[in-house]
Amino acid sequence: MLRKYKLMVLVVSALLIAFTSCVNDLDTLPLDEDVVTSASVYDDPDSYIQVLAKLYAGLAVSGQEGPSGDNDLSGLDEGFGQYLRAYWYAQEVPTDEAILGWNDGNLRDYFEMDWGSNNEFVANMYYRIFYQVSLCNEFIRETTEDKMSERGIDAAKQEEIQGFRAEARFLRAMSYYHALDMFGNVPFVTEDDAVGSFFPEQIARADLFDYVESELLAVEPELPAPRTNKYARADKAVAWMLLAKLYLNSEVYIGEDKYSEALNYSKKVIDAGYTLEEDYSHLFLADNHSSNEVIFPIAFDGNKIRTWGGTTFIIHASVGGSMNVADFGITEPWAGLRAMKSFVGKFYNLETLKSAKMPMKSVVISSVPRKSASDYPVIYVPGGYQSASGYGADWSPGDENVAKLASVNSDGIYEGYIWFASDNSEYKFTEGPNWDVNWGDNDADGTLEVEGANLVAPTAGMYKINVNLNDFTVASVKTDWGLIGDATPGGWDTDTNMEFDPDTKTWSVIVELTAGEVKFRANDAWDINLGDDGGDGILEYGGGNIQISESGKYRFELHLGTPDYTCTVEKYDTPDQWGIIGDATPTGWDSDVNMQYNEEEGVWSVMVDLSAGEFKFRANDSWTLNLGDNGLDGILEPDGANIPITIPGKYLIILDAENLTYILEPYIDNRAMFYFDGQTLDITDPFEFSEGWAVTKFKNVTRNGTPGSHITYTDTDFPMFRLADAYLMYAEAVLRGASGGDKGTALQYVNMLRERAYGNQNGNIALSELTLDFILDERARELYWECHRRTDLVRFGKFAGGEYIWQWKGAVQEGKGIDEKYNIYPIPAADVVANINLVQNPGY
Amino acid sequence: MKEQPYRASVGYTNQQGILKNSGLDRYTGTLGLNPSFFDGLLTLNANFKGMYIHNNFSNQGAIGSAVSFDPTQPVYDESSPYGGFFTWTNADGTPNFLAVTNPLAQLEMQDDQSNVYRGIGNLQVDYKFHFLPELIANLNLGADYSTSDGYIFVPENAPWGYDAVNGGGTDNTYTQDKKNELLDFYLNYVKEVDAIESRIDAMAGYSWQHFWRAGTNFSSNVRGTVINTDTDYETESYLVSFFGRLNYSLMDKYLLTFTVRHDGSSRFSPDTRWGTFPSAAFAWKIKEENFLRSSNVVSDLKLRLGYGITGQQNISNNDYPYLPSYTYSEPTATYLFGDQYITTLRPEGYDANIKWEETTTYNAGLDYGFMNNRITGTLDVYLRKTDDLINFIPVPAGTNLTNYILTNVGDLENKGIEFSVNAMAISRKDLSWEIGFNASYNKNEITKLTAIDDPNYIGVQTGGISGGVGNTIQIHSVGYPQSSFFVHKQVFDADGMPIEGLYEDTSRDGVITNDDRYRYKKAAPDVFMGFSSRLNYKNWDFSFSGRVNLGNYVYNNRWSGTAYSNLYHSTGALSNISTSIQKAPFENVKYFSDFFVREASFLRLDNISLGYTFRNAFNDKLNCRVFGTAQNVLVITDYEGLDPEVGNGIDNNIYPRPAIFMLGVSIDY
Repeated sequence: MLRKYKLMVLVVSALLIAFTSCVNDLDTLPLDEDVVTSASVYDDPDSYIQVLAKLYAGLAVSGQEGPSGDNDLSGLDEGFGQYLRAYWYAQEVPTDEAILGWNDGNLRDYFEMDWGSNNEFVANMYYRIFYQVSLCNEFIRETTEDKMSERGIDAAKQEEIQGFRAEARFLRAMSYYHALDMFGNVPFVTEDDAVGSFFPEQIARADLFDYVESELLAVEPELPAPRTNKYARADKAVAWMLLAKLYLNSEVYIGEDKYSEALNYSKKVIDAGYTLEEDYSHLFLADNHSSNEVIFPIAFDGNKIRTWGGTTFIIHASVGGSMNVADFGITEPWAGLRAMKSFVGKFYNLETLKSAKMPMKSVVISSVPRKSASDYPVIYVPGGYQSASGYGADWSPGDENVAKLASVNSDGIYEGYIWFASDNSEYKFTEGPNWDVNWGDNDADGTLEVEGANLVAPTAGMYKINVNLNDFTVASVKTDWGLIGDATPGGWDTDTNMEFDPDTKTWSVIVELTAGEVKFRANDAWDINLGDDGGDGILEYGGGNIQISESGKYRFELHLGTPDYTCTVEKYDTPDQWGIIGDATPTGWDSDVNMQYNEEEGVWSVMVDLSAGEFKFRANDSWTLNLGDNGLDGILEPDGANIPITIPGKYLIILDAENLTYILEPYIDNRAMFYFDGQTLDITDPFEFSEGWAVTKFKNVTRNGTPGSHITYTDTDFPMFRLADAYLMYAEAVLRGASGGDKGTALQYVNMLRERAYGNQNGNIALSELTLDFILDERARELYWECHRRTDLVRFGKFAGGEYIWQWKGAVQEGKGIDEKYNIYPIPAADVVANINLVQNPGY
Repeated sequence: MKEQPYRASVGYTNQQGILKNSGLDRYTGTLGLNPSFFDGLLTLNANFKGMYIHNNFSNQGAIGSAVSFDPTQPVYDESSPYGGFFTWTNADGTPNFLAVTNPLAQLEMQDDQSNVYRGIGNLQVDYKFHFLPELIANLNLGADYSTSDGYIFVPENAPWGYDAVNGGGTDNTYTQDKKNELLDFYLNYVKEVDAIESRIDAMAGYSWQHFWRAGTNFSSNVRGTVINTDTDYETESYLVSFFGRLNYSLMDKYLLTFTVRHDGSSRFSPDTRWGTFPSAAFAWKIKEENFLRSSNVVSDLKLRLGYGITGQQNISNNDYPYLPSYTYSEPTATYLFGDQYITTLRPEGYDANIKWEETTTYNAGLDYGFMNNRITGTLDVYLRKTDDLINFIPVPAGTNLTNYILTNVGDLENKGIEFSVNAMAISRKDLSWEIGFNASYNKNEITKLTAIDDPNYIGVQTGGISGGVGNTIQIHSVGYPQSSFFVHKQVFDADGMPIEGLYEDTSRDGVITNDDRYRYKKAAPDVFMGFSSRLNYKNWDFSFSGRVNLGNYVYNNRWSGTAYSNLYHSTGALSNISTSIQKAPFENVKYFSDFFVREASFLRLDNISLGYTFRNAFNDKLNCRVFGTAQNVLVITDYEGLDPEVGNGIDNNIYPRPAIFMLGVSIDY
């Protein structure tokens, strides 16, 4: 019994030990190698830069897996929750610059500008901001000197980490700036608020302004000098940019003017050594990290920094309709983003801009009918010259285009003119359109033999050929034609030579005539000359002189070939008025846009907004005299082809009607990067991609045209701050009365942007044109789709309210004014509920 | 020890799936031993089950594609570079990703298989103490280990994985390992104390459970040049309990039970991980009282009263919600510093104070039997209050390292009544007929959701739907049932057709906004009923069973996702759409109309079976039953979708539940 009892004790003790160790199992720590406990993470000096990297990555990726998975935030789709995408939505979609036609949740509230406090996209921006703030707080809290010394971090490393800490404070200030700008009065937490369950106090907008300002001023000395930190990290210039923005908008934030400060910090940035990227479009490509214009980017990479937000979103959403996805370095168009008509109007005159889809109106051009008798007896002239000279297939008497000689009097005597394009062209004659009966000339003696040898035209040119089938003789002579007569400049002595056009096989000349008479003459001799008996347009050898009753410019066209021979005489009235007409012009094919005559230069010119389409020159609002450009060689032809316009914009058109030349000089802003084929300007259905012009600004291809490293996740970095913005802030601050700058410098900065945009000085403005309204529009043209627009419109009082209306503002197609409350976003209802200290923004 | 009982079996199943190429092969082996020692004082019960399963999943996406693919297109296209299957393409010949993929291409071009190896072992030891036979010790050890690996392969020329630049396709391999271990030990003491007509049954024990899982997932394009996923995880949790139970019965009429558990979970911090959960129950066997004992009508009557608290810690996806930690980024989520891509470290959100969710239940019940228990049944009423509901809710912005946190928030109340009756309608030698019926009614209401009560708080949106991104159709709101539908009130025209985009302005502010959405119905049924019947006549047997749900509603996502605008893509591809377009002829999808919330009450006949038994056949060697059964025979419902029984109330089902007809023979020997 006792033994058993002992056994029991033993068993029970063993069990107790087992229980205790098993209870200790509850202290298990994470097994995953990807997870470290907070207790140990900062003991490793190498962890600090990795946590700092997360603070920056918080702007670029949405979680720890990339592009999705292990999301930083919960509650909404991970791609929507990415910082830049949420910011882009909030700053661009509710403005005139963009519409995003996806039927996602309450997304449409953004472009209809009627969001409420339950809008999940607003909440997404808000929570992203505070996520970023919380992460920065955590890092700042863990990098005090005390804590680092406690952990035994060496002095050199500590100094480096103090630099990281300054960057973290900058990043926190930037996110608080976004909160200040978009939400106004928000909960306020700093590194002094440890993670836990508490209700943060709400900070007033003005106090948050002071906080952001003081933080930026405090960290600015600690940040590296401009352009000395590693790419994609903050330096002094980045802090200056943010300070300039803070001060430029201070009237909105605190009702106080701080334009001189804004100017001061813009100037610091401008003088920091950044340079404008030569080609504007290169700023938004897959290799834009090489640009010296970008002051602060958000970096992306197809393999290493993946997200469904960021530029992956911007680029994919931009592409749709008939756009070629390969041009954008991607494969899948998301067909979402388009520009609003009002924004297109910052580049083009909307009054004159028409849809590229407008159908071509057919143009009826009057023509003089060619008089010809086709029922004369003919013989055929097949030969080896046919194809080269435009008479059908070689040696084909049956070809419909074969040259023919006609017997006008049905007497066996045939005549005609044939163009030989090359030397030593060979030919024969056939009785019919076949070889049954054919004649050649053995020994080249002028006598035809049945099935004789080929005849030869020794040199290229137009030959007059006569065949007499009564005695089987043949004669040919090469002819060059001219015009002679007392009406011509050379009088009856000297011929005015005519030009031969092998395509139409006509001779023509444009010549200034006085009243008098003219005839056509070959080879500067009277042997072969043509006049017009009876004035019927049919020419006869040795016929009567052609009467010219009025002096002026005339155009003669001589049609030889198979008789009858005819001519067309057109008098060029010296037009009182030249104009342009066509669907590229503001007035379409219906009426002309008049040009102005410049006496000095002797040319006509007009500056006009052209759409994609076609146009021609026309005299006196009539088709009688119109000029087009065959072959687009810059030489105009009467009744020539329409001149196409592919890029809409302002053009200077100069016409030299004397010399039939013209100049088409574009005054085009290269920043207008639109795709309009198949796109309408007006948006009646926001969810239809084909409504609104598409934008081609951001692409996942390099400047050489090679695609980025991945076809879905883009390499293109987002230029958060860049030099052009500093120029425009400087100019605006000057115009708003800042001290420390001048308008001349402002104009110079603005014109630097204009010159880059136009590629020349055509777009430069004068001092008188440098106004605040101009600045707002210029900011749109320069900085569109770069997350500035909402802030800019608010600063100019044109966002909410009714001063400026664009389509779908206020949820109606034509647009309408909206309540001023929309100048800031509401605090998300979820947070108002979760935090008893929060008071909702006014009106929501 | 000479002849110890044992049991062994092997099994093989080959099952063809409904999708082409899908199916599974399953091999099982079991071994059971239950020896006893020391004259039966020590008994062992050991069981082992081993399993190998080979799955071929095929491509489930083909189901959806088959429904929406343009039926006028050919299946094959010899000139197609995409495996010879007809494929919608862009002008440049690349596949049109916006168009529906050819479903047969999905089935034939994707290879998706896995192997699962699983072993389940269990050892139970009972020991009756020789010197104290009233005391029994019980030790129970269990282990369930599984390991699986699988792959998905999609060739480069599959249209849905096309990548002109890098070469597309998918080469995905993954593994998953699980270990669940259990140790239970208790002592049980049972003592009859005849002197006071009492019986005491006391038990005290200890339990330890370990849950471990780990896995890897690697996915790249076929060439291996683009890595899309390269992740792994490993996590575990422990649950430790001490428990005790005391049953006391007096005169076998009055029964009292007290229990108490002391549970510890590794998912909570040392300060909050232990919870103590008591319960008490009282039962009164009224039938045993003198006034009823002789009754011929009432054959059984028992009153039950109960009160108890239970604790829950069912948390998915996070075994350390209380613990501050940092997570490294994957190589695809780094950040660029200069020319170096830095792996990032992210601090995780946590709730240091998260604790057990507690449910307090009050219930009263009556068990009854009449006419010699030919009619039996129960009647129960209950009230269940859940406090400190573990929920995933938004935190005040800025207070944590995330926006949503798993924490204790919100209270929930369920009350209801349950009733069941079974009747032996006929009971004769050759003929018996047994029928059963049960019904229950439950009312669910959220009584608290957040730390503070705010009537303006609309609640937590839930119930993601297909269509758009991030759209939800349900909501948890205070004062309403869980997962109520949150929709706009549709306006109809004179012909009863819904007017596209026109909703009632429930907030009466003159505009239709999201604030006009209202809470309308829910997925859970108010009333649940079940019925069954079994008829035996000589060697014949015939039975059936079925269920009725009343007051359950379904959001028909198949309908709401259908609109004329789905017919074509601007890229030139066509799709097939549902005929429901005739009932809601919308140009564009309108997800949030209550028109799509449809009543889905139903009666379902689950099972009918008819059998005939040959007794003592083959020289009395064996019994043999030949039977035919039909499952899912009949559904009576007004619901227009394929199946009214939709778990979460959001119907995306395009795959009818199969009706199964089976003929079988079972042989006993």
